[in-house]
Amino acid sequence: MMVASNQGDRQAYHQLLTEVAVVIESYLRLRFGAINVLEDCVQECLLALHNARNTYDPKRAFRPWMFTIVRHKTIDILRKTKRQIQIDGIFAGEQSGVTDPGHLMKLIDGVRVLNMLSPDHREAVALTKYAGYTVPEAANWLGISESAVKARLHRGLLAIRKHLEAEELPI
Amino acid sequence: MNTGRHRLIAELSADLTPIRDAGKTLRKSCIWLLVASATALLIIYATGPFRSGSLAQLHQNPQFLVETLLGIAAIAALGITAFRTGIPVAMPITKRVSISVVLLCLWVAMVAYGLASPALEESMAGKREHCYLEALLYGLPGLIVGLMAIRRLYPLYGAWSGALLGLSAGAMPALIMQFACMYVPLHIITHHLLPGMALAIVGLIAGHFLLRPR
Repeated sequence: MMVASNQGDRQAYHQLLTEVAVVIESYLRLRFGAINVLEDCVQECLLALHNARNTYDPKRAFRPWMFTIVRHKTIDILRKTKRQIQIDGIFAGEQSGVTDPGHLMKLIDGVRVLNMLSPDHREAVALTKYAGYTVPEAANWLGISESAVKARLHRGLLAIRKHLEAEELPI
Repeated sequence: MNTGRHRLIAELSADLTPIRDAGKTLRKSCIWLLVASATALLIIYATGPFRSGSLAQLHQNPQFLVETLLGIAAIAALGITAFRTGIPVAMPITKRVSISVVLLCLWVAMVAYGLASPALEESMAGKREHCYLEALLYGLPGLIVGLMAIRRLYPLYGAWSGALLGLSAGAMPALIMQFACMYVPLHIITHHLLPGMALAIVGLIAGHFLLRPR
């Protein structure tokens, strides 16, 4: 379908994007949970695939190419997003995040990408990206400096990217 | 399905245009290598004479030949790898660049070996007054053209792509200077290779800012 799309077949391209969107959604949902920016991620990934379609080599498998773009785009969105990431039905309605560390860790327990991280990195990513804390608030809560939180967050997102890259995916 | 997503897919499908040379990075990188090296060669040729008999020294001295061939291999590998980093591939970037970096190190090591055992008899013949500036500047056109070409791909590691391209573009005039300027290994390292390699830093910075996935 991708080969046909690159030759200008609009119908094939429409079908490809429709199917790929479902695959991307499942991929992200499985790893990041049912986060509220999921749809944004899917649409941004579709746009990225559209922009990168001139780099697809018909002699190579489609899925590794696609998932490489999806991984990078998703991490990029998570890094840049200013919105609080919520797991549907968990943080909804809570305006200022959670106050009990044990409760937070219990809530994010099912998020696969966070389980891949070391405790330090997990805390930083969970507090700033999932619980909606600002960097100073997270630093205050963890009892470390703001720059340490930023460093842990940066390394945590890098670690997520590396873990996702190392994952074996069916071709 | 989500209506926003449905609309996006419809718009992207409507926006579809055929792509003729999808994924053909090897061809693009080879064209760039030819254009960039020809440009550097022409500028150096236009701005001063080559060392007399320098081409003949390739036949006469195997060490000089190996040194030159290693340089060509390193430049080609760096250029091709730089373009390949513009293609999303499920392989760590460090693994992808390793061969070209090893070749570059071998070339530099070979020149450095010349400090102890020079490939040619050291001589001031053919000395160019501002060869360090020439080595730095004449790689710039190639770097700019290469950055524009990689920008049209989908570079996920812009700084890496820029640095590799800078190394390749900067090494071109450095290698040509082996024939255009005097042959003294220390001079080659300090006045040709180092200024040429400085383009890697220019490329790294330019790549970081210019080569970002859309």
